[in-house]
Amino acid sequence: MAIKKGFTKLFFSFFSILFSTSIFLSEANAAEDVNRYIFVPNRASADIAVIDTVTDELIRRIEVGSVPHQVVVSDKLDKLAVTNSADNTLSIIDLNTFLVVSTVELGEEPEHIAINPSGDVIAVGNIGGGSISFVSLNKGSELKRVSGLYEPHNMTFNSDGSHLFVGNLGANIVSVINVNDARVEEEISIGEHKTIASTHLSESEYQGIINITSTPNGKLGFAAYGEGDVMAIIDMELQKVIRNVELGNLPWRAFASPDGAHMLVPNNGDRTISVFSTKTLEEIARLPGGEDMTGINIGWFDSLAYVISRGENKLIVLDLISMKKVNEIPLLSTPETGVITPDGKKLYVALSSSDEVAVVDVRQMKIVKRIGNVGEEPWGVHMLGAINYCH
Amino acid sequence: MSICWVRLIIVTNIVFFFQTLELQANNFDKQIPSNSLRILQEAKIISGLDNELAQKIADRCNLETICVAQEIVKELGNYANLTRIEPKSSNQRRLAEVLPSVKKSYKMSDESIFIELKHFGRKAEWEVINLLEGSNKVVFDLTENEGGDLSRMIRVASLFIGPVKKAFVVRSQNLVTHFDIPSPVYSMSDMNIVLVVGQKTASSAELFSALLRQYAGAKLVGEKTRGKDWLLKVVPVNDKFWLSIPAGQIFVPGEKIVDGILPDEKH
Repeated sequence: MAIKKGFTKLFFSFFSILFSTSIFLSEANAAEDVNRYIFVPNRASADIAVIDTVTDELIRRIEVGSVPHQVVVSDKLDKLAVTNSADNTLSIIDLNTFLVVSTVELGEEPEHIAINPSGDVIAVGNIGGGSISFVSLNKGSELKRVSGLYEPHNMTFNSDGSHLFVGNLGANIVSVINVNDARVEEEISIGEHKTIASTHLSESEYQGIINITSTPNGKLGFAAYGEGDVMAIIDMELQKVIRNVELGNLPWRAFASPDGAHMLVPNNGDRTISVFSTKTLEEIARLPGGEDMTGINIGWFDSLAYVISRGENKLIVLDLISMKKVNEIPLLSTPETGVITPDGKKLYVALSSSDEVAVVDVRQMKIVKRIGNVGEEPWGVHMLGAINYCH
Repeated sequence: MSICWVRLIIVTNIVFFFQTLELQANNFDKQIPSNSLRILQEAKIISGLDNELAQKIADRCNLETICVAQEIVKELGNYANLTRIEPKSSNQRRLAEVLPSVKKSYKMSDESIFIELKHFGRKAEWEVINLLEGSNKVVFDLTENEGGDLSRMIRVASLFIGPVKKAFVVRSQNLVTHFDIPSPVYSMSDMNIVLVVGQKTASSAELFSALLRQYAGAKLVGEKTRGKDWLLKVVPVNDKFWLSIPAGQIFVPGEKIVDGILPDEKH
């Protein structure tokens, strides 16, 4: 009996060691392989879908707070951070375990995130509260909060992480924050103020500055101002506008090609796309676009641009060598934003109305898979090492 | 001796507590102090507010931002306004939810259509283009239209009259600005146009009526319009308020908006 009991104990000990080891191995692999995953915040189901880009299979969903908006990954710390816009919190997830390790209270409606160059501090825009929170991913706590913003939208750190450039959706102003001093150091005005002829101000459709898109060397920032039909080119070191360029009607924001040669700006008012050369700082082409363009992803050796038309549920493909529209791909569902893998071969697009992620072969210009049941209302996609953005 | 130590510890803790508070105060909710100066500067540029008056307002309000904005509104008049920004939903911010400009439309015959244009919103131009396909006559009902964004109105007008050089003029205290109507996305210059106007028809809607009557031969029917002839520039004050600063009076050759536009045919 004693022998049987001892054997059983030994069996369970062996099994538990084996089990722990397998968990340990899978945990270790999860963090090591972080650059093969895409992360998808699902607004309605309040979770993050993790998709393996090698197999294009959903591998898990991580429960987070209410209405997750954007994610960022720190491969330095093996952490994933998610803004929960309806909870006013940020969830920090350990990529070794895929478990939430900290929930940080932030300001009103945290939405967009930028990670500093050293990968340990993130800036979060509290769009409803007009403030920016700086959060330590190591400590899992808010370090500083800076107010004086106007619906802070997307943000960009400069190359040494000392300054944060904030696009204000509620103004024609780029705010420059000195990160160490936690204060707005400069306000850069762009274009002219919106002109109205009305008995009342209908501000719900006001579109200020969505983002400051920097060149890969971090020297120049491109900030389109929606109501002004203009884009400012900013010297990010001097914090000064060096040039204003006219765009089409209601420009959204600039999207950079991975090689930094081009900036593409969707003009949602006249449904065109302005293509800029970052060398000459001139508009070199105006190409046909679509309704409500929310993103542009560039791949296949920087030669093909995929424009997401949310209003027409389609992708528009532009050839950046011939500067022509070459294809349209119907998506049969509402696209939000997308990401192209760092090798430029595959595009992933979040489809919010069908709870799917579409996988597009960039070179072949066709959908190769629709990954279903990723969660309710997928809002965006994020991949380490890729050009990520949020709307 | 031990009491001294306890006192020392308490004092040290109190000092530490206040230092921590000070540190938090330094790190949290720092305000950029120049908002009031910025909006005074904007009022000077846009509306010609003179230096002396600007200084008086700054002194009167001790540079408190909202007070400065309220004083600017009082001093400038001409529809100057301080507006609290209404909270927006996430979908409104992403423009996934857009207020339609066309409230109602129906075909009156195979080739004519009735469109109630409630305001000049983000997609007004495209809403009108889509509705007008196959029509050669349109009746725009502007009786509830109290104006909106100037550039969006101009884009709708361009469909019928564009391009027109120096189509209208805006005169401010020290500046005369000519406005052009650009080339349209789709030209509908052959359209037979009737505009229904009324006492509520104001601002951009009055300018739209005047432009279409002058440059497209549109017929205006209904009642005299409201007579709001000022353009306003929208200046952000902070994350809660916007200031609308008068930027000039609108003049259309051959029309008089200030007293209200008279229709060709009264109803």
